[in-house]
Amino acid sequence: MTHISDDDADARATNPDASDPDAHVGRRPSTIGGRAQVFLQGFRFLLAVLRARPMFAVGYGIVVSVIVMAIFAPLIAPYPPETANPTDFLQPPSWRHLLGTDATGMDIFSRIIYAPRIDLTIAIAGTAISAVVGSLIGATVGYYQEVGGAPSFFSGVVMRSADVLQAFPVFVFAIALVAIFGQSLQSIIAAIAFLNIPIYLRLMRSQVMSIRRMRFVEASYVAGTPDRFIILRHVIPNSMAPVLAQLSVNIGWSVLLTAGLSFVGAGVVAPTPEWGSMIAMGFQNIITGQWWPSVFPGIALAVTVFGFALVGASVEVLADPARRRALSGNMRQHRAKES
Amino acid sequence: MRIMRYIGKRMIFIGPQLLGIILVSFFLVKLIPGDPAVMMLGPMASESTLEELRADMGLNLSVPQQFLIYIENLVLHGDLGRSWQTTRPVTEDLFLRMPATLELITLGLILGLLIGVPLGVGAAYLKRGILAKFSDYYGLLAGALPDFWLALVLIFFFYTILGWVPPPLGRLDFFTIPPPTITGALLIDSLLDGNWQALSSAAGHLILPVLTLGLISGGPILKMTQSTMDRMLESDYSRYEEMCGLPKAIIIRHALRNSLPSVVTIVSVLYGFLIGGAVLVEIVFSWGGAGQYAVQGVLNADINPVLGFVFFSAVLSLIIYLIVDLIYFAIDPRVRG
Amino acid sequence: MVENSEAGTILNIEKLNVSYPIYEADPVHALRGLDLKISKGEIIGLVGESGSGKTTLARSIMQLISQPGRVDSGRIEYDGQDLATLNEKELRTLRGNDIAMVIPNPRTELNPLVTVGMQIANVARYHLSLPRKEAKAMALAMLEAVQIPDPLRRFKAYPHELSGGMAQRVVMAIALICSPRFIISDDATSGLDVTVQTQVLELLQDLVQQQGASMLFITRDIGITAHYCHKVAIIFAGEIVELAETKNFFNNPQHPYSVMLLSAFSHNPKLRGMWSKAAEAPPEGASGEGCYFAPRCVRASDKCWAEHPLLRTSGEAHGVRCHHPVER
Repeated sequence: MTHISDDDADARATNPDASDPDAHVGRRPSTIGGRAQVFLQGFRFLLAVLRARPMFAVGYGIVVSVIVMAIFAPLIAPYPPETANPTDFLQPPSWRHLLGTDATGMDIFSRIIYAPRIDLTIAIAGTAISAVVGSLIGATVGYYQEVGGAPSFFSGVVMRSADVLQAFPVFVFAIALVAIFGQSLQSIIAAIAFLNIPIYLRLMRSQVMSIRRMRFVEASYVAGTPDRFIILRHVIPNSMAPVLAQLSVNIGWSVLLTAGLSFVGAGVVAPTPEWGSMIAMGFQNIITGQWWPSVFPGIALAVTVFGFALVGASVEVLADPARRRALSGNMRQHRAKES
Repeated sequence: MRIMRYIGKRMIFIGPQLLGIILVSFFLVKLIPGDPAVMMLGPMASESTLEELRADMGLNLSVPQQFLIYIENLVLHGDLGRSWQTTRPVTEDLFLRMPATLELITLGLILGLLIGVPLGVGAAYLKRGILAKFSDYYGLLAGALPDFWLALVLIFFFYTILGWVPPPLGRLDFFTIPPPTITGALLIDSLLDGNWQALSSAAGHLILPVLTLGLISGGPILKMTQSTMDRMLESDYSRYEEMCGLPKAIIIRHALRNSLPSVVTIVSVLYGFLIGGAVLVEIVFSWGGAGQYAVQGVLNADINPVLGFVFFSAVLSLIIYLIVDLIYFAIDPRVRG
Repeated sequence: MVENSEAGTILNIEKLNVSYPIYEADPVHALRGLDLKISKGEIIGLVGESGSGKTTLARSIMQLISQPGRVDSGRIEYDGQDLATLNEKELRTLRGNDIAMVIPNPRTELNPLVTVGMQIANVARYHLSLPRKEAKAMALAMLEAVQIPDPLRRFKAYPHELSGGMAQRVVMAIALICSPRFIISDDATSGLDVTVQTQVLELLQDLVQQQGASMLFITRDIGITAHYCHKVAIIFAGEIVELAETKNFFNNPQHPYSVMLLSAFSHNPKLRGMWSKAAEAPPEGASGEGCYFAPRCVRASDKCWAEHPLLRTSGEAHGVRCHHPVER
């Protein structure tokens, strides 16, 4: 049977001037100047993407604003967040109090601005810890899963424990952890970290298991590269994409959980400004018609989580070369149409 | 009889899994600070009465010993202990409260399916239209909205301003006579009893919480449906069916059938999550559900309700996963092997 | 041999240009000014290597070019109708019903959740507006026609339960059940064992001729065309470089590429080496407008690099696109 496939020659013959814009990918520059250039290229690409997909830009904008709010709160907020002014209680939104006051007379606008300090600290710290710990365990488990013998047994134990951990009702578990460790910032962070570890564990594990089967890892292995080198240099960088996307979404979700905990009284202690506890404080008032103490913090909360979710979605697209190419293809078409 | 063997294999694992869950919860819950004896009798009680009560409740034994007693009670007598807050056996409490939660989340998820699946299919089919954009935003938004906050907003609109629904205080109006408990689900029980007043009252009270849960769970269901349908419509066999000139409706129907496993998966995950996760909505509506019960337990170091709830929800989760696997079995011939 | 008249033409492709603008500045040209005429009842073999444009041609006829590909110019006339003027509904009536395609590697292309029999029946149901029972009977008859053993049981089988050869027969059944007048077989037997391949091809030829249909038989294996086709067309770099009746082609291949393809079979190592060559860069000052095959041609002259050859037809209806065709 004849199988004539001289693909290279054919490609060149049919398209002698084709140059692949992605040809540089895979070649990592070794000088600092070179790396800086690649970084700048990537940054410029990011800007172009944001222009093409405005929703992503909105997401990044939200996240940046919230971080700015957290850092510069004292400069932005018109009133101190925990000063109660009982005569001014339950004032509707006005020029003096932009978003009104709550039942104890505290200015809602200022408290909303101060809240990210707590919420973001908890969410970022908790997520970061769980991501690092979960990924490392997951990568190790995934790598040794099919090796057999003791490491594979250990993998089995870890996975079954993760199963048990995830079978727990999330909220009850979180509250229990906070109750055990006492109601403090650290215990909430610990609860969030603990709850999220199985997520990163599973994610990393399945990624590692599929990457591991790929030929280039086998090649490394056969060449005699030590295991941990393979894991660090080959497996983990290729598995990073979904983890990064998950991080952003997770941060948003952790903020929601913290708010929920505070709502039942198991999270941040009043009068510390936190969106969830603010909603709780305004709970009774909403039924009697004073909606602003509960509604505004909720909007702030939703917008923040929304922003993190958008960032996560953008990371998903950017990290996947196929989708990135589709996106840049669309971008080029747009630019061609414009010019 | 392949099915029987499959179920049998799964059953073997259920026992140890449950045991593991109870073990971890027991030791976890024992770590919660708080002396139940003191909380039951008040700070004025004498030390000797406290000691008596502790001995009675078995608190003076070592933790492993307490665990064994608990297991013994559970397995041999079906006894989950007693809640010191309600002073009733936990099994009784849960028998009242679990159906409340289950009725709520089942209806909520049905609503979520009714919202999410059509939108997801539409968005996947009409790739670039307004519908697709709307679905994207809705999916992200639903995941971002705090459920307890949405509940409050809905109460504000539909009760405070419009007055269309009854006040958010439990499952029935104060003066309505509840039907005799057969399933625990008020809608079913009132229907069986012919108690129309209870039926309409229960339905009225269900509207807002079900709407809350439905709107929020609709998000993930929509996203999953949309992304799976997208994949199925891009798949080789969808293209082949197009090549054979089959009508669009058939291609979509086939793609939807192929997407079912993913939808079933997400619904089961949501279901398992909501058993404990609906607690915030339950609190807002004073629903008297199981999650609320457990949360009260934790906050007051009332151990038995917590353990009982964890046990029950674990059993329910395992049953759900089993049902899901059976559904896969029925849908996908490749699974049957 | 007598050239079939216009009235007997079922497919007429004129100057078809299809490109894939993956990189906007530099689109990939899959088909360049391709001309092809197929008469009723004729089986034409189309031979080319990977990337020559065969599958793009097949999909263009079906009006199903995969995104972001598009037709730049040219027309495709089926039974006198310009396919580009038809709307989606009209095209759907044609596909699977009048124009059918037999695809390779069918197990991934069949719906895993629907029984094989129903997939065949569905095509009949919707195109011929048959009630379910009748469609099923037709499908069963089709399964017998494609020589699947134990058709009653196989009807209820799922794609993953079939072997490659059986799946290929199923796909043939799907293609032929509505008695189409034009069939495209796109590399339909790649991946099959040689013995199975022979069976499948014999069957395909039988059924096509029974129905009096025409077929565009696309393949990478030039040897097959000798047994199953009336005419042979060689496609290279998106255009037809040689077209002749089978006997004439194998007796007297005129294009250097055709000779290269055939010589690869030869037992004579010198002959094999004589005609193939590693691709060469164009010489200085070349206009880029020359013959596409020049880089690989052992006979390339300056004229070949400068001027793009046209398809010239000599006596005996033998067309070749070359400045220096090979003489016997």
